[in-house]
Order: sequence, then C-alpha cells, then structure tokens
Amino acid sequence: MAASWPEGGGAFPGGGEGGGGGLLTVLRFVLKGKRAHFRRFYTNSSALTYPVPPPSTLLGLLGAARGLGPEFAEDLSGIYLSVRPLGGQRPLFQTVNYLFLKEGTLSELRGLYKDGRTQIPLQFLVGEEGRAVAYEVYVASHDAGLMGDLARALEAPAYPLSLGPAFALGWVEAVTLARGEVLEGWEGEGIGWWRADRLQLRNLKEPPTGVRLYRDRFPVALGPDRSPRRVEELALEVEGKPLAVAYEGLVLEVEGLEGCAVGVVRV
Amino acid sequence: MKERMPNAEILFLYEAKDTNPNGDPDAENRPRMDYVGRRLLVSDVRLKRYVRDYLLARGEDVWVRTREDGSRTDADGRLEELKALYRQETGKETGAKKKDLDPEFLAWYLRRFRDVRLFGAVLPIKAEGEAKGGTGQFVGPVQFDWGYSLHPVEVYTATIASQFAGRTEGGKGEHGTFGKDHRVHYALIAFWGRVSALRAERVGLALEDLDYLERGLLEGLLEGSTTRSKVGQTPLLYLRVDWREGFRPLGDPRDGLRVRPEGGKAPEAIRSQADYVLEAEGLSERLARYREAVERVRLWQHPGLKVEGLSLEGVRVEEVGF
Repeated sequence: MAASWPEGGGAFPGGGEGGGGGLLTVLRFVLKGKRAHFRRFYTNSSALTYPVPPPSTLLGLLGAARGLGPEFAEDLSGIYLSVRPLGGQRPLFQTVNYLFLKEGTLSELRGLYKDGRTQIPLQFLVGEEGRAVAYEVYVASHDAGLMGDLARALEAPAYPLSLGPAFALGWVEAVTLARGEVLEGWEGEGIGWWRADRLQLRNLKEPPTGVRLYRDRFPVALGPDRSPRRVEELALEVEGKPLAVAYEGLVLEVEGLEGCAVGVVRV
Repeated sequence: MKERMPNAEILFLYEAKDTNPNGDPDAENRPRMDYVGRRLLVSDVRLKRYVRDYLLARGEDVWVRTREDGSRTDADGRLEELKALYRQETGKETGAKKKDLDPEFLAWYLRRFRDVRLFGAVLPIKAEGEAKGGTGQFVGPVQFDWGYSLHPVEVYTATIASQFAGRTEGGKGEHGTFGKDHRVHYALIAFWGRVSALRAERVGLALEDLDYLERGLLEGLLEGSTTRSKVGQTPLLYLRVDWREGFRPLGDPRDGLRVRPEGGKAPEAIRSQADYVLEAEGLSERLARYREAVERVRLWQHPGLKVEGLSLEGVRVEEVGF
C-alpha cells in the first residue's frame, strides 16, 4: 500500500524550513524490470546500452511517473541524481529488423525503400538466473514537497514506467525518504556516479579485487528533439560496489548511509 | 456509468509446439533464444504482428504492414492513395507545415489506423523550404515486454530440401536447394503488457479497440499460425488487470508463475500441456496485495491448461468470451 509522503511545498517532517541550511530531502527507490536498454547516444549501427540509466533517462522516468509532458526537464531541473546496479546483470544480444531511415520518407517508414530494412544488434541487460534487472536510484532536492510528490507518483505512476524503450516495462519498489546533505569533495567510500575528471581511486597500489570501473559519456540533459544538450563523462562501479575514492565533485551524504557517500549529478 | 479507459496490466500465455515462434534474422532464422538462460524469446513486434494481421484480415488498414495488395506497388503510390482519400473525405489538402504535421490530417490518420491507436507510430515530416524534415511520434498506449518461455527449451534443426520453379534456360527450369529448419519442441511463452490511459487519451484509443486487441491476441494468434514455420501455436491464458486509477507496483506478473513438470520429466522435456502444471500462487499473492486498487480482471483460460493456485477472490472477474 502507498505510504504517506509529505504534501507539495512543505519541508521533510522533522527537517528544517524548506530544507534550509543545506539540508535536502533524499528519495531512494529500486527500479526493476525484466530487461533494460539505455542506448549509448553515440552508437548508430549497433544499439549498445549503458550499464545504468543515464541522468536524462532517470529524469524522463520521474516525469513519466508524475504524468508530465516535455515540460518535465524544466520542472525537475536542479535536482541531484545518482544510480547504481543492484544484483547481477548480464548483456543479451538480439538482432532486430529496423526500418532504414535517412530522409524519414513514407517509403522508408513502410520498409519499401530499396534499402528498406537494416538489421541492428540490440544489447539488452537482463538479470541473472531469470531475476529482474535492478537499480538503486537516489534523487535529492531542497524541495521536500517535490520529493514527496515524486515518491507518491512512483508508487502509482501516471504513465507506465520503463527501463529505456517503452516496451521494457518496469516498476519501482522500496520507496523511502530520508534527509541528506550535498558536499563538494569526499574522501572515503562511495557509490553512484563520479565525474571522471574529478575522481581518484585511493589505494591504487593495492586496488581492491573484483572492482570494475565503467567510464563513458552520459547524456545529462536532452533538447526538445531528444538530442543530447549536455553530456558528462562519468564513471561508476559496474556492479554497484562501494569504491574508496578521493573525489573533488558533488556527493550526497544520506541519513542511514553513514560512512558512504553517494556521487551525484545535478541536472 | 460510462466506462473509462483503464490503466491495465496484461498477461498473455500461449504454447508453441514443434514450431519457430520468432526467427532471429541474424542467426539463420533460428528461434530467438537466450542461450545463457535457456529461454525462448519472442519480440513484442512479433506479437503485435498477429494483431495487425488480424485487423488486416477483417478489412481494416494498418500502418505497419509489409504486404501490399496487387494494386499497390510502392509506398509513393500508397501515400498518394492516402492523400487522395483524405481529400475525398474532407475536401482538404494535407501535408507538413514546417516542422509540425497538419493536426487535421493527424486526427484523420488516428481515426483510420486502429493499430496506431493501439501500438503507436513514427511519422515522417518532409522538409519544407529551409526547414529540416523530421519525425512525429505517437507512443502506443499498449506496450508489451518481450515474451519468453517459462521453462528451459531446446532448439532442434532439420535439413529440408526445397524445389521451386525458376526461369527456364533451355528447358532446364527446375531448381532445388537444401536448407535448415530450426524449431523448438515445446515452449510455454508468456508476455506481459500494459495499457496506459493517459497515452490512450492522446491518440483516441477507445474501449472497443481493446476488444479488438483481445480478439487479435486470441483469435489472431490462431489465424497467424497457419504457415509452415508458425503452425502449432495456441493461446492458453489471457488475464487483464484494470486498475481503478494509477498503476501499482505489481511487478512482472510472470514472476508469479512457475511451470512444474509432471511424471518426472525434465523442464526441457515438456512436449504438451499434459506434461506440466502451471503454479500461480505467486501471482495470486501479488494480486491480493493490491486487491483494493483493482477495478476488475478480464480472464480467459484454455480448458486444457492445468493451473493451480490462481485465486481472484475479492476481485470482480469478467470472463472473456472466446
């Protein structure tokens, strides 16, 4: 059953006035689905996926939950986002028959153009042993009311949630709210996203075993035609394990996650 | 009280016996498989094709089609035909205006194509003057996740000989070749879909369209399973959960199902409905958790499917006539 979240415009219960003094409301949830595909925006002849939903995808997901149209990016601008994979996931390739589009003409769209169809390898992410693919997502804002609205919306979304394309149906579990604070710079354990140019791994002489970093360019904001408007080079641990970092970027300290910061991106 | 379009979840199960439910174009048309998980896969596009073909067979036009009747030889002719039809019906010209499509033409287009109202479409916008062309998109109110078998399956291959008529050259008109035919012995395939009321509003999807979707899945699968590679597919279960308002985190309803082989068979040795029981306790528990949010359930079950533990207590159930 839906929990009771703070109404729009208010502060987090027990928190300061409107989250003043640097205090933020942090929304945490687990996003799940049977398959995910978060297309790397720069791929063309193949459709490769990022290991986690990029910031722009998470923004779209939150907007969809609230039933927002293209205005979602503006309505949600300024919030902090982070994500990490939960549990094992593996890639699954399938080749799909796409329509060849160069001019966007009707003949191309109906597959009757002479080079009408093109076969594109599509990379999905699926959970191990038939389980769902899962991501832990953090959203933070000074606007506690907005976080309450988002928490409610995620439990009863206006538009169906998906993990990338509309057919990759998804859902959200374990929605919680907590208090947190954004800091600039962090030394210690951390999870989530790291700006590649501001990240140093500690104990590099003896790197922890089993840790794998993924580094790529992620779309943070999209233009009206869905082309990337802001791109950042981010790094993350591919299985969501905590990293020992010396970081000069933004992190979130969350109540209940003592000793472990969450690397965030502000959108 | 007038019924309104619901947000809904759809669970659709069908069996595939000695057939190729969905060929992989990049693997010699072998059945799509997740070889690590040993599950057969079927794309959402393949499932929607059964519905589209069902509509075509009833004299409806559909947007996404690969077959043209004899009078249509290319897409340009098709476009001219649509424009002429629009002119004839409305007395107006159509076309893109800068980067936007003509709203009146779009409304006409949505009234014409039931498959677009169900599954969405991408439309071309031709370049005009200095304005760049582009595409307009309708996101379909009905979306299906890819289907998969609820148990491990194995692909088998046979060699076939084909003879066909070719061009005669000096009277030597016979042509033949050997080919490979890939199939699965048996697969119980499950799809999970959703209907979005908000998206339905945007494209004018009507409740009647959902009736066509139901019939397109149930009857359309049978009608579409008459070719050599698709024969042997039968619908087994259709369950639609209509939410009173927004979606609830029911999760993937397929996670609440389990195939229990009978007679000591291994899961991959299943060959018919007689060889297994479908356990649905998990699904019943999930539905019970959100019972108060459920407006109704629409249900159809094949009489030969053995289901245990499917309880819809406390929920209004409508039998789907089929």
